[in-house]
Amino acid sequence: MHDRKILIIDDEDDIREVAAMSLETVSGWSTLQARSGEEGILLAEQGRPDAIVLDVMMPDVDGSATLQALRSNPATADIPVIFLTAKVQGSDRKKFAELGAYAVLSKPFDPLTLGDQIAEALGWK
Amino acid sequence: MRWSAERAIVAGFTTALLLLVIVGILSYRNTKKMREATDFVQHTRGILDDTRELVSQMKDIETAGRGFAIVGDRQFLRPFVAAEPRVQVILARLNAEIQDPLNRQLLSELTPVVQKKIEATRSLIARRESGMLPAELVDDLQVGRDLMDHIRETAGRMEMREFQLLQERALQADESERQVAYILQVGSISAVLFLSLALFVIFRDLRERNRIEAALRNAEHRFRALIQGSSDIVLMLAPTGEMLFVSPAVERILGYRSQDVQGKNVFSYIHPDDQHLAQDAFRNTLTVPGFAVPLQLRLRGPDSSYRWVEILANNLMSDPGLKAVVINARDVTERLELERLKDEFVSVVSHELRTPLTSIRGALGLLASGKIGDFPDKAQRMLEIAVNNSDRLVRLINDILDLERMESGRVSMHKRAVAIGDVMLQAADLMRAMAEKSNVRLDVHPVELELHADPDRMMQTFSNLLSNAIKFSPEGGTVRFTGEVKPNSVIVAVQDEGRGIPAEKLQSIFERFQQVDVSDSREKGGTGLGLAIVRMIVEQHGGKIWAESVLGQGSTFLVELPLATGESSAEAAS
Repeated sequence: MHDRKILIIDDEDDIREVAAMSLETVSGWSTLQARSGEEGILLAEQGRPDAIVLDVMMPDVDGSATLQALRSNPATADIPVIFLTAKVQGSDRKKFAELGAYAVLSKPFDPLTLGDQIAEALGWK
Repeated sequence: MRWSAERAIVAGFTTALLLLVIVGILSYRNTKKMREATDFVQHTRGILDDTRELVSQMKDIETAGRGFAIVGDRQFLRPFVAAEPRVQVILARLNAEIQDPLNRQLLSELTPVVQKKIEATRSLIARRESGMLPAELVDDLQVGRDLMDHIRETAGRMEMREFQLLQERALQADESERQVAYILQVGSISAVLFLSLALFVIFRDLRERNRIEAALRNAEHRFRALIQGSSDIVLMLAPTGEMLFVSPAVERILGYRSQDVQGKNVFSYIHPDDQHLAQDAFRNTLTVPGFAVPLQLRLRGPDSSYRWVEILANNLMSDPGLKAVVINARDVTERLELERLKDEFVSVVSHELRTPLTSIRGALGLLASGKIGDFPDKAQRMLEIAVNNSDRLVRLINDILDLERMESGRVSMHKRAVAIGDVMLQAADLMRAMAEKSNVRLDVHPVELELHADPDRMMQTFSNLLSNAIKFSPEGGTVRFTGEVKPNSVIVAVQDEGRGIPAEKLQSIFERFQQVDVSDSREKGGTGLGLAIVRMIVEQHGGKIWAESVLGQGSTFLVELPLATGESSAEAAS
C-alpha cells in the first residue's frame, strides 16, 4: 500500500491516539490529528491529507457541520471523508451517507483492519 | 302465541265492550218484551172482560125478553134498551181487538148468533106487544134459550182461547226470560273468565317487563360505569367517521367534554401527518368485520396540543344494536415519551460506553497483535484475554441496543422478497472459518424458497444459531443446517451433536442472560442475548422458534416462518 496521509478528527484524545497508532503501525500510513472540527478544517487546508476520518459526535461543531464546511471549502472539498461513529443503526447509516460521506465506520473499530476498511471504502489498493 | 299486555288489554276491553253492548241489547229487548207482555195481558183482559160483559148483557136481554114475554110489564124492557147498544159497541170492540185467528173465527160465529138473539128478542117483544099470550110464545122462548146457550158456549170457548193464549204467552215469556238469564250468566262468567285471563296475562307481562327493565337498567348502569370508569376513550364511529358516542374519558385525556365532540367527525381531530394512516386503517376496518388494527396516532386537544393514543378498532357494523365501529383509544403519550427517553438513554449510554471501549479495544488489539512489540508468553496470554473480553463487551453493547430497539418497535424490519436458501448459504459461509477452527463440519441443505423477510436479520438469525451450534458441538461433530417446506410455512433447522439442553430449560434459553448450565456459550464468548434477539426477529416476521433436545445427544433449533407474512399497519406506514 502506498503511503497515505490520514487526518483524524475526534474530540476524544485516546481514540485519536489509538486510531493513529493503528494506521501507522498496521497500515504504515502517516497521520494528522485534530481535536475539533475547526482545528480539523485548518489542518485539512494545510496538510492536504488523502482522507479524513471524522467523528460524528463532537461538541461545538459536530461531524455534519464539519463535513459541510469541508465541502464548501474549495481547498478541502475533494478530500474524501469517512464518518466514524458509535451510533450505528441501519437508518443512521443512510442518513450519514446522504450527507456526503464516503462511508460510515463504527466504533469500536478493529485496530488491525481499520486501514483496510478505509482503503476498501475509498477504493484504494 | 305469546300475548303481550297490550293485546290482553285491548282484547279485554273489546270483550267487555261487546258484552256491555250485548247486555244493553238484551236489556232493551227484554224491556220491550215485558212491555209487549203487559200490553198483551191488558189486551187479553180487555177481550175477556168484553166477552163476559157481552154474555152478561145478552143475559140481560134474555131476561128482559122473557120477563116481558111472561109478565108483559114494560119495565122489563129497560135492560134490553140499555143492553142492545152496549152489545153492539162490545161486538165492534171485540172485532177490532181480537187478533187470534181462532178467536176471530169464533167471533164471526158468535156475532150473527148475537144479532139473531137480539132480533129474536125484539120479535118476541113485538109479538107480546101485539097481544099474544105467553103460552103462545113458548117456542120463541125456547129458540131464545137455545141461542143464549150457543152464545154462552161460544163466548166460553172464546174465553178459554184467550186464557190459552195468555198461558202460551206466559210460557214464551218464561222461556225467553230463561234464555236471557242463561245468556247473561254465560256472558258474565265468560267475561269474568276472560278478564281474569287478561289480567293474568297483563300481570305476567308487566312482571316480565319489569324484570327486563330492571335487568336492562342494571346492565346499562354496569356498562355505563365500566365505560366511564375505563381510563381509555371508548368511541363509536359511523362509517363516515362521525362520532356517535364518546365516553367521558375524553375529558380527562384530551380535555373535551363528550357532548362537545359527539356528533363531530373524528378525523378532524387527528394530526395531519397521521391522517393518511388513519384513513387507510379505517377503510380496512370497515371492509373486514371484527378486524382489529392496533395503531398509534395523535389527537388534537382544545388547546391545539396533541396527545398520542393507541387505537384498537373493532368493526361491529353487523351488530344490529350497534351498527358502528367501536374504538378503544388509550393515551400512550407518557408511555411513548418513556419509551423515547429509554431509547435515548440506551442510545446515549451505548454511545458513551462505546467511546472508551474504542480506545480499550484499539489499544489492546494493537498490543496483542505484536505490531508494537513482543511480549513474554504470559503477558501475551493476558493480552489475548483482555482483547477477547473487550470484544465481548462490544458485542454485548451491540446486542443490548439491538434487542432494546427491536422491543420498542423502533427498528422496523426491511422486508422484501428474499431467497432464503441464499441467505442460508451466506450464513454458512460466514461461519465456516469458525467451524473449521473448532473442527466441526457444516452440513448445509438450503431450501429453494422466496420469503418476504429482512435479509440482514435473517442472516443474523441463522449466523447466531449456527454459531451456537458450532460452539456446543464436540470436535469432529457435524452441524446440520436444513430447510423444509410445509403447506403454509418453511422450517429452518440447526441441529448439533452437543450435550443437549434439559427439558425444563427449553423455553427459558430464549430469555435474556439465561444459562443452560455452568459451562455454556457465555464461557465461549456469547453475550447471553443472542437467542433473545433471534426470537424477537423471528416473531417480528410472524414466525415461531423453539428448541428440541435429547440430553447427551444434541439439540435442534427450529425456526418456522409463515409463507405469507402479514404486515402490521405500523410497518406499512414506515
